[in-house]
Amino acid sequence: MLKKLYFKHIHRHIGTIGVYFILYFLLSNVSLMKSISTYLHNGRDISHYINGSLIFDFSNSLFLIIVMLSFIEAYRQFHYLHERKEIDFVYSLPVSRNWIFLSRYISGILCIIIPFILNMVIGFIIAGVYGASGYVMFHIFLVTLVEFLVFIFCYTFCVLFMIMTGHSLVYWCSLVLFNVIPLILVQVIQLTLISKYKEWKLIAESGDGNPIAYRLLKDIDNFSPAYLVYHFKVAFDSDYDSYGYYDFRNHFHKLTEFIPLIVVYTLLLFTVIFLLYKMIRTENCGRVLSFSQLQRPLQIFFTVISGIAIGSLSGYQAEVTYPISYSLNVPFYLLSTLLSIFIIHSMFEILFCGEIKKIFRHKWQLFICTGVTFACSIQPYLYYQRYH
Amino acid sequence: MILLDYKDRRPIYEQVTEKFKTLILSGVLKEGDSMPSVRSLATSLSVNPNTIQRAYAKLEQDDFIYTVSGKGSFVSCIDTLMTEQKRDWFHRLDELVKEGSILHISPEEIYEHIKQADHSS
Amino acid sequence: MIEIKNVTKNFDDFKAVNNITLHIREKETFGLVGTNGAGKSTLLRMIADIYKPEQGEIIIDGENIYDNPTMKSNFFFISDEQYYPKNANAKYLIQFYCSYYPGFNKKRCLSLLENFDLNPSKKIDGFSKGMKKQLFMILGICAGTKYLLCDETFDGLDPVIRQTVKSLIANDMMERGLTSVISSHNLRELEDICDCIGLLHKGGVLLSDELNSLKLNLHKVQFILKDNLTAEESASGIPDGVSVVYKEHHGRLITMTLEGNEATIHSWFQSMDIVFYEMIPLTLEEIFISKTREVGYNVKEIIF
Repeated sequence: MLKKLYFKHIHRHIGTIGVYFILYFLLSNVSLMKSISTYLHNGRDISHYINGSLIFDFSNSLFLIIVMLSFIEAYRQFHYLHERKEIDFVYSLPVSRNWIFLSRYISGILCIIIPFILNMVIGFIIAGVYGASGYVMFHIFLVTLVEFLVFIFCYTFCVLFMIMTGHSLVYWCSLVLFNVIPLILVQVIQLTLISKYKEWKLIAESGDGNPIAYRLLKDIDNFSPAYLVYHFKVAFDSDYDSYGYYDFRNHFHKLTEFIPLIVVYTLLLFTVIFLLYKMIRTENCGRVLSFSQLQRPLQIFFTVISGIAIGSLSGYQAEVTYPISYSLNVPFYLLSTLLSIFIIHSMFEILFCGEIKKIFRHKWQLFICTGVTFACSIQPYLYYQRYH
Repeated sequence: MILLDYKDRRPIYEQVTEKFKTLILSGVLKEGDSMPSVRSLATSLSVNPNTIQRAYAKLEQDDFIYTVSGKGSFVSCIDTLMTEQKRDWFHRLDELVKEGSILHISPEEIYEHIKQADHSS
Repeated sequence: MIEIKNVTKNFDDFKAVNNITLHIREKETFGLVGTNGAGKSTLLRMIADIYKPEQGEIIIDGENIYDNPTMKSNFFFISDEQYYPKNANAKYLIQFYCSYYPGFNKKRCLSLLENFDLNPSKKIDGFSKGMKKQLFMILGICAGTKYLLCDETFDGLDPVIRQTVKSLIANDMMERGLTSVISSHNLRELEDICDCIGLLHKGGVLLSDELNSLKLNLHKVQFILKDNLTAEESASGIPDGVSVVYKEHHGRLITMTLEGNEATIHSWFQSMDIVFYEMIPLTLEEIFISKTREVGYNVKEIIF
């Protein structure tokens, strides 16, 4: 009986569902109809076009929207974890905590599944009207399914962030940092260094002797939803054959590989968030992190990472000679590393304590971070020294 | 029926008890009159009903009221009570007289004072 | 019955509630008072299952309330700062609570809202702070739960509304055996409505007793000494069972707070050689100040 309760209030989400539907509709079916109409103007056989190309496929903007909607929906459903008044209210109600979590999680998914299904049906209708084959219909279904799974994956990921953080601002900042910055930095490094030094490109692609900064950023990148979406899209872009026709079999093959992977990954992530949810202490609501034990590890991790990244990015200068030689602008490298360590460490200290006076509270930790940073950074330099 | 004095520091049940005793002794509430229900008195005075119940228990203990189960509380016959009350009053008067003697007030002065008070009332 | 057994709550390294044990009996109103930061709100939130105690447990009617929805439907928690969904009005909240509390009396709620002059269709955002408190108080009483937990609900209501709310609580106590736990700084109001008082200070319980016993056992006596006696001489020979909690003198006028039996104290003073004495009952506020002064909470004396 209690299970019916939370769903009763789905009517409050009608507005959101409507907005999502319109957004999704505009980006998928409307743009699709536009391309069909331009094609029709050329007077060719429309069904041939529909059956031969991938006009019902994914688009960049759609993916971006899905990812952003997952950020927003996770925030909408779980922001009670960040508001003291709201969490008091929700937890004093006679509902089990598991059910509060599950119903909120499912509500978020329901808000997106309805627009997706509606759009899929509209897609079916449009395709049917223009004589699409069974393959195309199945493809439409597959595309919707994949987009839906991508949403659930990103959504689950964002719920993890909502659970781990205690404050909405921290949630948004960390989400942006985690998704956007590694992606941007990786691209920046590739573009700047590769364009400048041809040999660096070889090194970058081989993966050996890369600055640890670059490798670490790539690793972080692997875990973020943005990575998934970006690299997934890149993989599927290569499915057109030489005539401009679409290789359905190859496409389906890739999709069927992708689907179980993402399902497994999402299920694992869901288990993690469910367990973490049960461990939340309500008094940490409104603070930076929900789990105060994570403050120190997080601070150390980010200080070291940024120290390595900023130090090596600013300090290394590759010379285009054969064999490759590295020169290290030592004073510049030292200065930038130390400065970045100090600044990032202090920033975290202020973030967690709120007082500027306390930035030197953990002096030993600061020294250890410096030591670890230099040890990691010196590694590629020593690697190349071997070849001199 | 009764009003509470919020400035009075005594426990509320004492106030309630005393005020009802006054009403009963002065004849405002006569023998056999029904007392207000605990619930109605508690809500009209905005006080805890347990307090009222305690006051009623005290009144019953002191034989001012009696309870008929299912019907409520009623005022008892106060003849014996009056005698007791009068005895208590005279006892208190003795104390006052003793105090007066410390202030050098003679019994004659007291008597004159009572006569004058009686005249003016 | 609400049993709080050896409950401790830490906020990082700060002990908000330190090993508290309290028993709250049924069909009684329990007043939770305390100094600022004593842990009243924390304790109430633990009873409402918002915070989980580090140690100890809270048992309502024989069952531990942690994540126990069936048991939690027996109480209604009113916070000091109330949450309501955006753009919600009172009607929506009534509908909402009806689905969670089976005993919710919708008719009575709507009629009470009318009596309090609160429009059920008006958005709650448009209500003043006091009106919001009134609304939630009404919702809490009409929820029909066995227990009502109020966090500083009286503070912020005007005197007329306070009287009405007290009457509502009194009525429900008689009608359906409502048990309430009310935390407040307004001790004057609590005196009328509470059976028992729990006084908290710095996370611990200073006292937890029936209000009447408290008042019967603590007395303030003012007396004037005779010329030829010192304070010490006249205050000697304290009888058994009586203790001096506090003593203050201004010249020959001495004020003492004594703990003990009223009759014993009376006879003691009558036997003393003094000019006169007056025994005054203590208000709850004075009891509060006296008890907290005993543990060193006398800010006024520190400043001035």
